[in-house]
Amino acid sequence: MYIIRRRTITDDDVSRARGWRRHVLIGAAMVLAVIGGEIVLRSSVPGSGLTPSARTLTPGVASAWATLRAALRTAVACRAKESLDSRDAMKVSQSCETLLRSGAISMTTGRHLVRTITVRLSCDDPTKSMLELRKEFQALQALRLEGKLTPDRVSAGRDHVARLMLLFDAASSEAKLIDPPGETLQIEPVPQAVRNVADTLLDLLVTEDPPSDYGPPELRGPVKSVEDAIAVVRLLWREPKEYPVVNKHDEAIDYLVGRSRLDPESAEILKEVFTMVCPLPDFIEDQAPVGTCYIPATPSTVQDAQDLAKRNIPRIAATLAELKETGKLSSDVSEKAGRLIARALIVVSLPDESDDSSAHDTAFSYYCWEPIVMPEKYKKAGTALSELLASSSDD
Amino acid sequence: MPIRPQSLLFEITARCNLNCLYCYNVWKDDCGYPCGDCSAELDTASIKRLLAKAVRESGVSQVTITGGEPFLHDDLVEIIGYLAKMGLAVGLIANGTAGGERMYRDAVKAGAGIVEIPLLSSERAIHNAMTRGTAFDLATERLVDVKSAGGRTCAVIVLTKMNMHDVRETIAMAAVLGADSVMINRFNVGGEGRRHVDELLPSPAELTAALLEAEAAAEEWQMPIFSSVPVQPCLVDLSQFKRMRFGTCPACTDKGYYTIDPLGNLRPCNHSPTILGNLFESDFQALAGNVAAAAYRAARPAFCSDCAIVDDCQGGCKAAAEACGGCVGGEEPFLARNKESVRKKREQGHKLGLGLEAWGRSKRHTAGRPAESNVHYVHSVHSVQSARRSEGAPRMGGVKRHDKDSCCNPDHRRYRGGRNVHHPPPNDHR
Repeated sequence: MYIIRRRTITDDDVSRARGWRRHVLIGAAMVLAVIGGEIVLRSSVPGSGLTPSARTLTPGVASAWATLRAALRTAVACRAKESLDSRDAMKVSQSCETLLRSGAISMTTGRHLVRTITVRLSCDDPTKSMLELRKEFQALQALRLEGKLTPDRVSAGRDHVARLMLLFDAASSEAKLIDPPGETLQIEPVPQAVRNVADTLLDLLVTEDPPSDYGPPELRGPVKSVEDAIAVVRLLWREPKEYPVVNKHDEAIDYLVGRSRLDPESAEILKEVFTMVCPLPDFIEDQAPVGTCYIPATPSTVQDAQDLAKRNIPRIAATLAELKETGKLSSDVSEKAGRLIARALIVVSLPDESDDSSAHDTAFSYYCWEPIVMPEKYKKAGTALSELLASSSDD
Repeated sequence: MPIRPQSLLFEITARCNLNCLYCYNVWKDDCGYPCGDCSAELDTASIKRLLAKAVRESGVSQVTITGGEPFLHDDLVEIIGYLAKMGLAVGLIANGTAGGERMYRDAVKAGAGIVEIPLLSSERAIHNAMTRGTAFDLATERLVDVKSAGGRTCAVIVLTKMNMHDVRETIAMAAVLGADSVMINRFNVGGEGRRHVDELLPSPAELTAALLEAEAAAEEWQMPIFSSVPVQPCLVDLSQFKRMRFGTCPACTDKGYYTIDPLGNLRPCNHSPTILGNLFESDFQALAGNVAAAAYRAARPAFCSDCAIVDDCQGGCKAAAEACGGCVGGEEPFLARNKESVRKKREQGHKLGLGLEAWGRSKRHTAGRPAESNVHYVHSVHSVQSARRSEGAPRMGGVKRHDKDSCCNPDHRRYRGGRNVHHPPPNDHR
């Protein structure tokens, strides 16, 4: 991401940035102040690290966002396997319920949020399993669209979703997964709490699809040409917040693979990233406090999550600055810790539409914050995406 | 019933590049411990055979590698990888000053999960004084390195008179360095620490004050903080701590952390000098169930014999009692030095042993008994010691005994002449 490579953030950067990017910039500026950035911005949102809307949230809603955000951070970092269990998943779902009931998010946003987080967190293998689980969700959606997911089938659907939930911790003794004898998946026993969560998920899944005339023309109808496909990718990449319920990127990417414009490995990674980031903008901009990613542990209570969201990163950065200034920490250690904090911020960020369009300035840059070495496959996919976006004639 | 502990500790080497004041390594004491000269170690192939056998026989899911200083072992990363490939969670306890950034990264990459590194004070001079080296800058750097490499860290604070004023700042520093958790242990006497008891061991009041600071810091930074060295509830009112969690002695039980030394000898825990036997010669279950282990499990200080919660509290750290008094059923220094205050409080009818809910490992005290009856001492007609006698408590074994005559427990004095169960490992394993 360019702000890191330049190690400079200007007023212009911030004034041009919209929404969540603005707050990421402010957070990064705060970190740069610690590690030696050139310009420090403190005035825009003084020291809070929170979006204005987040500061006015009720505690329950803010906490719910904090919990979700912590979970999403883990998902983004592909650490689901070791960090999340069914209890965490439960917290995620409960947070979604809180947000829905409070009206903090729409059903559309909630649906995407749950899908993204659940799918991401469900996978043992960050690549393959996620895609497999996505297909299961899509299958549920297809059932509904075909009119097959009628009320009398809700129970089966519920168990199906419950199974997805329990995949987080399949080895747990809490639930025993049994292969379906027929068309209905059974889980014995399915804890009532899991059933409740599954009901919520199912509600989210079966409501509010985008209308057929939703979005600009390139998002309607099938992809018929390379140009169409690139236009879809470009639009969804650059304006994901504008079209949070559109999932045409898969179709577009598959088309590009079929026309040899993308290699299959990069395509799979891009699908994963699209799935991951599409609901993220309004997730961040509207409600979520910035800075919950640098926390010592997954919050164990809602109150913990709220406190972590409100306090930790700004305070940690300020404390680091103080420790550096007083010489308690050596300059080497201060710089490394600053990078750690910066990385935590960047992990939840999205690519900026900066003029610098090199691979390092794509969404994948969150993998490459020095001294972390970006995996080669992500570099490759990032380069492929950059080339695709650059080839769009109306850029 | 087989013993099924959750984890094992493996002391991969007795060598260390530091000479910390508080070090509990048993070979740092002048007890003639087999690897005391630090020259005896197993080769890597033997280590793998040993660990595979121990894991298979014990059924553990976690192995924590410690020392000495584990990063002084040339093949540490290879061994971590070997354990990780067996599907085990691998932990590391290191001092942060041996092995560079790259080696720590390699260790995380190989499968090291949580890495425990001491952060004794936010003040460089204090940390360095306690470690008698220049460890502070390297230790802090390694804490960040592990996080940057994708690992998890636990900053370890050993509470002594030297650093207890600085606890809150130290925890703040741990948060800044990205620590996932903090382990805050009171100084537990043993090894090198036996020579510095007056210098280091805090009083109950001092310990309480420091732990309250830690509690405040835990709240302030939302930091999970654990105290694994036992703190007796009669000496420190644990009901004051809502966030911190305290451990009790789990030695020789399913919750224990049996320790394997650099030569394959099995001990009840890393603080204890008692050798249950050698894993090259015997099965883990046979050693974990032998008479010495049973005696370890059953041991309680005589002072605590009529306390209602002694089975949960265990009287504190048995290994410290053993290292200092020569008897596992004796009183460890923290209790021995402060028991008069407990006696007075008892006589005055004070409620003692408050805050048992802070015990992370203990559940028995809440099971089937009214809560009130669990939180104060009563003079039970059923003496734990006499009960144990009636069960035919076995004779104790052990490597060494200090000051045998000072053992406070007459029942345990009988074991002084007990058979020494130490088996030096065969040469071909060295």
